[in-house]
Amino acid sequence: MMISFIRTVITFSVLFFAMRIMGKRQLGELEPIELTVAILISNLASQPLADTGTPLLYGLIPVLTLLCLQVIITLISARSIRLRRILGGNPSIIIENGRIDQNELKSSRVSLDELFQELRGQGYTDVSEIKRAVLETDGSLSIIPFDRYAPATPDALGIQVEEKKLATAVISDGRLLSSNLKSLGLNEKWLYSELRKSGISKPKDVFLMTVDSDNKASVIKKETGK
Amino acid sequence: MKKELFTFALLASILIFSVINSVFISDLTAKTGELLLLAAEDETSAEKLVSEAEALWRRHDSYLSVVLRHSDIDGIEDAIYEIRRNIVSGNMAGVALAARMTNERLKSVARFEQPRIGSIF
Repeated sequence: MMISFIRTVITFSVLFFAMRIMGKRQLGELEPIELTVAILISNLASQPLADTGTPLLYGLIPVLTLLCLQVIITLISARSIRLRRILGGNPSIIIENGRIDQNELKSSRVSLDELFQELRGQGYTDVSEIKRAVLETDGSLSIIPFDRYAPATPDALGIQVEEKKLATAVISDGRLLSSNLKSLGLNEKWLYSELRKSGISKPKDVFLMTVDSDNKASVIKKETGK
Repeated sequence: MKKELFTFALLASILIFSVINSVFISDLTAKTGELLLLAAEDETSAEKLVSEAEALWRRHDSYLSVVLRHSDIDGIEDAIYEIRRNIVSGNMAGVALAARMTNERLKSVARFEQPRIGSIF
């Protein structure tokens, strides 16, 4: 038991260190700590399942230990900038004012092909269009174009637009979502009166009912099966 | 903050449980082994001492199944059976040998639960 615990802590530390050394581009969508935990948990959990001679606790202790370590490290790093930099690394500025920082590109171990693949993926074909491109700690590339190349926004065009009303589902597939209804400050009496307006007597007959911030309801009736 | 406190408490519980378990396993294996070695030295009460050792081990069967590999538990039960078989056939030299082997096996189970370089790596 104690051996499982110590082994988990050591393996976690070594794997996490390896993830940090591997660099950002290997990580994809996850932070180094998340990837480390994801890799370890998937294997640990399956071992006692496959071998019934191994107590389930041999799988549960490491999984719970990893979970605790992740939460604790995330908590500490959220409070300490220095630790956050040590654990997660720093974002790298790959492109600044339309110029590629070759040293940063090299130290991040990103090839030009990969950089251009990422740029094309986000709709840019020319480096000179980019004000700043940052390789984030999770391996993703954030691109900030020069304003003249940025997609036009209503604000930039001086157009007044009406703010979109956010809709909340209050009935989903015949089920009444009471908490959502309550969060909108509405009650079932109001709901039934709205249903009656649509010619429906009970929530069971509704496929989807949404209500926006102006309390405007939208009802989709359930289709009867053939 | 509740989540963080829970996490700290859980981690501490795992650590404390691991230490308690390690001490318990060491104690149980030592006591069982001691009884088996005594049985090897005393022909007249050998059977009684082996039965005591077996009862002691089996009393914690459910707990041991949770914390030890089932193959280790089965191995020790088989080893105790081997001592009993030697007693029945009057082979005291065999009893002594089997008791020493079982004791070593018990020590090995206890060692596996101790935080040593060998068992960690």
